[in-house]
Amino acid sequence: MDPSALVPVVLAMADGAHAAAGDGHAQHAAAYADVGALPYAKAGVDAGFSWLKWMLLAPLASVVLCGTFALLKVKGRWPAVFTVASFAIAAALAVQLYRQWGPSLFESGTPLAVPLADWITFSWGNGPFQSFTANFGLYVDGITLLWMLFVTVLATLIALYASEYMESDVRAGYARFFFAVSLFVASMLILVMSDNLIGLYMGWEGVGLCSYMLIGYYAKQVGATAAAKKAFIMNRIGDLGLALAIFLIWTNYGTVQYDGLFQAIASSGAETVQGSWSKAAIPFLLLLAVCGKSAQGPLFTWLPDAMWGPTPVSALIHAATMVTAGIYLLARMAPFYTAQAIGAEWAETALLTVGWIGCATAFIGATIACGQFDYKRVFAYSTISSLGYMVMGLGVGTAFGGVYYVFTHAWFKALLFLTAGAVMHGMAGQVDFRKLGGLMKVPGFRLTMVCMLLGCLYLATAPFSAAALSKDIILYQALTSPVEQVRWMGWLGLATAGITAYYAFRVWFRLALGPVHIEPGPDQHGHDDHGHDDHGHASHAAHAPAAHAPAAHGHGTHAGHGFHPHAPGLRISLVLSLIAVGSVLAGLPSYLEKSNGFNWIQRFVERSSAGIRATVGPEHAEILGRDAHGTLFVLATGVVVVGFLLAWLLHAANRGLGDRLRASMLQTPGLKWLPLGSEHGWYVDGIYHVLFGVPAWLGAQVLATVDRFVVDGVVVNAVGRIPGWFARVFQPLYTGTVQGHALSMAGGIALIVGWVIWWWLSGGAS
Amino acid sequence: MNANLFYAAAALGAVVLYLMMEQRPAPFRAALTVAGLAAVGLMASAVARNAPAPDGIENPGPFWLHVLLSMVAVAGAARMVTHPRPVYAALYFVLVILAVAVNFLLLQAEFMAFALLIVYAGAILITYLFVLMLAQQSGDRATRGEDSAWYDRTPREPAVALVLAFVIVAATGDALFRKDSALPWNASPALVARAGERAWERLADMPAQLADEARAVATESAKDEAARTAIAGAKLVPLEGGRMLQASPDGATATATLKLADGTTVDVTLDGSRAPDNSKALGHALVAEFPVSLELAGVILLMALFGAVVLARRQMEMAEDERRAAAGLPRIGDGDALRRGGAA
Amino acid sequence: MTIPMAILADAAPVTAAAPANVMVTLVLALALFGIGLVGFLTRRNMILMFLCTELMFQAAALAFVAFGRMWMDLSGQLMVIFILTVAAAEAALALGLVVLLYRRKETLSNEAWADMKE
Repeated sequence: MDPSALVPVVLAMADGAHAAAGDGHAQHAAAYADVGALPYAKAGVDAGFSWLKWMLLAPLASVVLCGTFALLKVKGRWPAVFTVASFAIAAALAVQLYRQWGPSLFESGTPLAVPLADWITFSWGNGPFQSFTANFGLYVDGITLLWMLFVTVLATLIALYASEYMESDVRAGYARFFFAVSLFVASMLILVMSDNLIGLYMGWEGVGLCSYMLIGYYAKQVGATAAAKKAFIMNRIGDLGLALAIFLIWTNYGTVQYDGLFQAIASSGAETVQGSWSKAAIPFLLLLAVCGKSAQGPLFTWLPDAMWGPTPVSALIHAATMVTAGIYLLARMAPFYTAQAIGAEWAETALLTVGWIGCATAFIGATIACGQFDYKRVFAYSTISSLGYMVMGLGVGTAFGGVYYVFTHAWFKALLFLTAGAVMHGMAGQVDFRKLGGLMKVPGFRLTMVCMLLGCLYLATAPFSAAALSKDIILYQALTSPVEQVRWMGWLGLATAGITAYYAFRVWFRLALGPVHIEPGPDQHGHDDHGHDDHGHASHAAHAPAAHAPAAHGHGTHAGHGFHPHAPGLRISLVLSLIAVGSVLAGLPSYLEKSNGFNWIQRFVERSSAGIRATVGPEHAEILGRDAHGTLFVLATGVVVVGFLLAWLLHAANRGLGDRLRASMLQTPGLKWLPLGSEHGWYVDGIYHVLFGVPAWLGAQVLATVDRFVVDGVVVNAVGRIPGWFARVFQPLYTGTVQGHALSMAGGIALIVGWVIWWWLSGGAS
Repeated sequence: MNANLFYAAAALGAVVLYLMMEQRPAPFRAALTVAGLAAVGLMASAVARNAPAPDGIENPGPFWLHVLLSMVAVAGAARMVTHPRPVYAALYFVLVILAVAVNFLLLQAEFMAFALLIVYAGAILITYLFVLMLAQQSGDRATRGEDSAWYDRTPREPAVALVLAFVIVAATGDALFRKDSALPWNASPALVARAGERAWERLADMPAQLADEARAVATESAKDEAARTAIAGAKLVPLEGGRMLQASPDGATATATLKLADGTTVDVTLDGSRAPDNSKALGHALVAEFPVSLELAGVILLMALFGAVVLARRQMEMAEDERRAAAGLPRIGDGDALRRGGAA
Repeated sequence: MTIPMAILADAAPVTAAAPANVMVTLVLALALFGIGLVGFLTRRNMILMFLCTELMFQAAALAFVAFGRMWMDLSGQLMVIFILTVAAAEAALALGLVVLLYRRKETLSNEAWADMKE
């Protein structure tokens, strides 16, 4: 494609439907919060599409089958076959739905509602707040359809990849792995396709559960189980926000079904609801849920630790799908962030909060990634950073930008993780890129490195790449916003893009270029191990935070003992190629925008609940006094080039320069904190441990003592002894002598006489 | 109704009784006796305070005598319950019976007083004494050189028993002292009249007696010997309504009519002293009003007789008869064979 | 000091009783009953146990007579006749049984017969 022809394409990005944005600061709050009218079409119920239930039932069938295999401890590759087949069925059905129904969606903008089965429906009155309905039903609009498409296709490809990657575990946990993956995809589909918040919550919890199961897949490693718990607990904090938000939504609007909710908001009238705290709390609670699921804001520390799981898991769940559930939530719940729902001021505050959290997370993630030596963790932090961009996109007012970036990011991030996995798989689990090098020249790894190059280019938002096209929409919206804070977010995002370029290429240069240097990781057994399926019960212990030198020092000398890297097999290479192609093709919507007249992704977003934010900022805006489109292009490209050059200088041209720079920074007292802090994630984990972990541990000690001595010792034991004491009072009655019996009789008589005369006669029975 | 004094007296009595159960040195015993009698006195004063004032009764009777008898009875009973030697206990019981009998006398139940003495003190208690002495004799081992057996000296759970007894006594006493109870402490004139009527009816049921009394009354007021002779041959004449005797409305007197031989009638007014006394009245009541109970009482006594005979039989084995026959000895109880002095 | 008794006086066949007298008699009956109960529950000698029940009978008889005096009815005394009858019958049988029991165990203590222990 002729590069020059792309320029007008880029410049014409906003040629779609225009925003009826207000001009001038007088209306900036309303404009910022409410782009355009609120076109929530009522969903059209069509039971003819009930074949969509097979999209859910196929992965669930795979769950059952893999589960049975896991329970019966059957060996063999059938679980992978089931899984890949079921995902392929789901993908085919999604494509079928797009072809059959997509056109009508784009024309009329009417979402599709397909009732499947009754679940919870009861009412205790006739009023609006006296019934509760949450059934199994589907609600498909633009973003649902988009998510359905890329989730199923990516899941199919990654499952295929995993079938080879996990072969070392065919004996033991193969079935368990695919059981969890199938359950995950089923939950994710339920999440995006359900027509009410309860179904969404069910899917939300399901993906959280599967993430826990899969992160802790190598259950014998302490790090893995700890990371799984951490992920689950931080997700739970987010889930609390979601649950509270659902409660507040129900108490305010009386329904949890999307259709009813959107209609309720749309019909609230022009007079906005001011000052109602419970309505205004909803967007913030939803933001908490997003932070938990998508690793934003204060809850991001679980994602790097999630790298303890197998790489396909990282690719599927922690890059492409689960973490995007947060973005989905923001897009789905976009009507709650409007002035019509909660008033212009609250809406602006909510959106600014979303934006700042996303922006700050993006920046922090990027800075931490610069200091990591474990390339998987670099990619994990890059995911956090990218997710920050997406959240920021939704915060600055462009759901289109956020969703488009989700789409492109899913492809290239999956690609990056899968190539990282291929390298790990081949290098016996070596994750420290200081111990590897020159892999481009290693036979069998060239394809992998090329794919990784493509992925890094996209990560660094190389100009004209799909990623750049999508991310630039976000930056454009931010930099041209009438709100000053948002413009600051845009500048910060721009700077982060530069840092991203630096660390992306840092990884690639170190891995791919330079002399061939391979120190195998701790996974190999025996010297003449050809790395075939005898990797044994995987102990990828080298995933320890690469801050400290991995414990694989002893194995380092194996390179000289004839270690042969295990080149990726057919399935892995096939999948890598497909996803690489897919990453490129992900930019098609923008490439074809000029000739189609519309952006394909934008069309999806327009016909969804995030429709009000489907468009980008004013067409003839200005950045720094010049035309916005051109200026942004120049700035973005420039920043990326600067990062690229810096990485080239420090890691490619002179390989050791980066390390020596770091060492010298460590010597300088003033600058020591920079590399150390970055390497340790700015000690956020440590802070959390002190703030929450230690008090919790202290509390637990106190409670344990109380439980042992007070509850157990005093209450329970005393209660246990009471029958004994009580019995001893009456024991003399049972000695068997006549007077014992007589004593009982006399006692009874005394009781009766006393009761009758003193109580009954004096008040009771009169 | 304030029964607190009564409760206090009962509590004091309970404590005294508790302390008396163990063997105490003499001075202590004397003090306890005094305390016990004081408790009785307290009870009596409680009664004196709480009893309704006698209403329309000319001669209320000797309250102090009742109190004295109560003291004697309670003291005897307490000693009976706590004495370590059984025979003494039985004798103290006799004292109690005596006191109760005198009480009966004061309550105008003369027959019962002496019946009590005869039956209880004279029969039942004698039986008890016999059995006690019988059991004492062969049970010397139990005493082991002491005056009394261990099981007579140590009481069994005295505290609980006293508490229970206190509860029962206090509660029932409280019921007794209530002002709203339906007991006719002061008998209404209607009640008195009815009681008098009943007494005269009893006399009417004894025609010979009635005739005698009527003649005696008429004779007292007869003027001369001829009248007396005439009255001696008089007969009773039924009054209107077929009754022989007509009680006055207040039940104090009754009138009857005698018919002399020459046809004149004499109206006789019988006063209270002519009514049947306690024994006669009781006898009449037993037969006229409670004949079935009388018979049943006889049956009970018969049963007791049978039971005693059965119990007193010698226990022997069933096969003993055969063994004796085999040995050529006569069967047990075969007096003829014994007299014949040989085999059966 | 006169002892007014109805058989000596020229009065009605029956006269009302003074409340205090009757009440003190009832209180005496109550006290005797209580003491008898205590005795029954505390004595270990079988025969004395029965003697204490006889004391309770006495108290009941006294109460009957007192109430009969209060209501000026002869039924109270009639009841006492029957009480006496039953007490005599029961005493005879009870003592017979006690003698048999004594012959078995050679002791009058009722703890020797505590076979129905729990």
